[in-house]
Amino acid sequence: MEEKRFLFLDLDACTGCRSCMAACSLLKEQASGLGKSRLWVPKMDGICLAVPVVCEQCANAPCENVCPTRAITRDTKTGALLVDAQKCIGCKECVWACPFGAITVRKGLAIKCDLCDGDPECAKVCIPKAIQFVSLDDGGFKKKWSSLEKRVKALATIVGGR
Amino acid sequence: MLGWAGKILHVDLAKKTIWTEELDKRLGERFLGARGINAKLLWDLIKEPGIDPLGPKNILIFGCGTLTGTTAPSSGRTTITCKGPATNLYLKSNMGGHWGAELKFAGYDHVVLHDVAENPVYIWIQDENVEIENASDLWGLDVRETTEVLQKDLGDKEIKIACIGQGGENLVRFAAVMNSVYHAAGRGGAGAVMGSKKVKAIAVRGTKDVELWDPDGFRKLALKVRKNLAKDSGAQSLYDYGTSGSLEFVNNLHALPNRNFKYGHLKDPTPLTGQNLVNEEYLLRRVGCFSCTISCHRFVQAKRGPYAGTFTGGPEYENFAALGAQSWLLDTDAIIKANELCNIYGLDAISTGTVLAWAMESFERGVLTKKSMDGIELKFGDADTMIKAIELIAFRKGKLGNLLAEGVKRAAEKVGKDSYKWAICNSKGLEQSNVETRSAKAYALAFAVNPRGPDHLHTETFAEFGASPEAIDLIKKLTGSKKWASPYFTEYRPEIVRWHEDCYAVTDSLGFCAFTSTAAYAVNPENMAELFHLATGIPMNEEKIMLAGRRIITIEKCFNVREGADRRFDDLPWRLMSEPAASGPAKGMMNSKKELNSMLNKYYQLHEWDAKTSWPYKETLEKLDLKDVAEQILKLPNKKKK
Repeated sequence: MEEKRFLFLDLDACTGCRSCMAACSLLKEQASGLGKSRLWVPKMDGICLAVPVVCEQCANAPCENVCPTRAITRDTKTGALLVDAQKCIGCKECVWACPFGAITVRKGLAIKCDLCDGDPECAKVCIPKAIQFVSLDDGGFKKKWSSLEKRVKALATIVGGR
Repeated sequence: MLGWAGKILHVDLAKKTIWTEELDKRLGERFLGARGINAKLLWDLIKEPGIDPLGPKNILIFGCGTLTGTTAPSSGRTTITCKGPATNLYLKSNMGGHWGAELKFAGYDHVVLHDVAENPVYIWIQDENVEIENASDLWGLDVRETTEVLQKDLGDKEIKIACIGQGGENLVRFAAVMNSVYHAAGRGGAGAVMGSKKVKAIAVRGTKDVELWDPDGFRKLALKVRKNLAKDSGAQSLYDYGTSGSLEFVNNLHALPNRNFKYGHLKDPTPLTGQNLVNEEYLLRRVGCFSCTISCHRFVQAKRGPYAGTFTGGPEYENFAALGAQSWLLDTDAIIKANELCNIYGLDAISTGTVLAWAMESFERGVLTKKSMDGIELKFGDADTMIKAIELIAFRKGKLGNLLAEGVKRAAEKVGKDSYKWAICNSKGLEQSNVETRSAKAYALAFAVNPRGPDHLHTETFAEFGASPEAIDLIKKLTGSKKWASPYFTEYRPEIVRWHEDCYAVTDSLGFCAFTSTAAYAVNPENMAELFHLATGIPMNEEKIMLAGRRIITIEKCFNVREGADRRFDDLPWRLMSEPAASGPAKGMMNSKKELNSMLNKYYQLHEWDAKTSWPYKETLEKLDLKDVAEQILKLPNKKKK
């Protein structure tokens, strides 16, 4: 079996430059921008806070569970949750179910991170190493969860208050 | 349009009209973007010399780079151009942050503000929807408050705000335009021009993408260039310790100007260094502008003393030097406070530090007195009075505030008594940035010919220090030998300046940061030309893009020619031209008139400009495809036939 790798996002290392968003958009949509990126990096200018958010490829994934047409399935090679464009009806159930806001629906199709088939562009452009593509051995799930906890709290600061 | 967004947004503030103009591809080919196109627009829109920079006829132009909004590394910068209130001459001022990229995503390359509004307004740009909105409630707020109130009222934290603080409202001649709270277009007083137009802010939200001619080719090359830049030792140090990470190195060369340029060396510069920010845990976060690989910007919090708890963006090298070294204030926490006040009031920290140091020396010499200045006396090293004085300047309060808000040239003229001798500005009238030009000769030349005044932000000739292998290679390429990679030589400085001028103009115009190409040398003109080509589809090579750089430099010069500024304006502050460096390896060195003149002669010759007036020959302009410009300057000299 191939080694499973995941995107490790480090709040403390993120400088908020959004290179990842532009790079994601350029690779996936052939145009550089923020609106069509699979990642998002919400920010709060006054305290220079930036929180990288992308699909966590959850083990027990709400998006996969709620999808009425079973359009979301796991890629056995990369471990990424993929959207089957043929089956997706654009109902947005997955958008509501995702706790991280990591899925959008555009032109009737759910769009989310597919780990670039095992070679994610965002990690390549992130020089401060706020986004790393690591294997489970590189610190494992513990690291992943502590990072997630921190990022969710930071996200609450941005979304919730001033 | 490919590469560019393809639209110039015009706002007439008096008539309250808004219109867009298609960006002419030919204009883009000749002037690239941002700084270049801004310069051409300013030339075309201000048709006559002598207008009041703070009056209705001035034009304020914002422009983002050709590559801004793309994955090209560190390409998110914005240029602001107008006639400058500090100098009454050409002004371009440049800022990082994320505002420029947002403007591009909204579908515009440039925003041009005409005339003045009757009452305070802000401009709200949401893709095609552009409104001039009432800003009476915002007038009087600082930069932080303005940003937060607008984001809240408009209901989206993603809205990018470029705005002025009280400094700009009160027409302080060195008021900055700020974006994302901490990113300043500081130099030369663009904030005062915005204030004179009664524009408090430009709020932008864009949802479009930048379309590229060859997306895949662009992506691959941009990634390669990004990796190169990441490997550069200068870029790494900027990430680790920020711009002030080099302060100790500069001090070791006895080239850290302090006590109003009287000395070049501090016994212990530690409190002013980026290393100190890290080691003493002032640093909370490293911050990047749009698409930046370097992330030199800092977010810090003061920890000790009366200013503990103050948080702010910065301080940069220049802020530590201007607000710290020049005032002999060696207190990290107090400097963080002073830095924060400059940020939120929207003041250029360089000019603020310079006027304060000038005032301190003036008090010391008895030229300014406590009695004549409402009972206030500024002393070197007195943090509390200095911090109070920054507020007086921003609000133009009292005699001292009003005097210093005019900038050091006008203040010295008003006070008289030889105080011009310690006023650190040149004949153009802008305060010099904190570079010891007496022992860095290419910097000296570049500062003297800079159309906006003496600083490192039109041309940074960092290579002359030979501080990296890339820098030494470049010096060899430009002069024929690596032995000229030392700042103490005057030989070959004009050649070094000429290359850096063109390269810097291209850098600014594409939206790149100077740290990519003229302070680090990881991104070279060939890379820039190729990325430009892949983005726009317009064939481009190194030679052609550097020629565009020279065209931009020349039209900027022409603005000043039209205003009547001749060779006499290309000089340096009196102190640096007349008093030798105090200590260190360059002890005794000076920017004497004689030395400067010999470099200037060669520099004008390389440009094919007339040595007597410093003005371009008609033929020079025609050769640069600037015939339209040549036709508008009647008194241009003709090239003498050999």
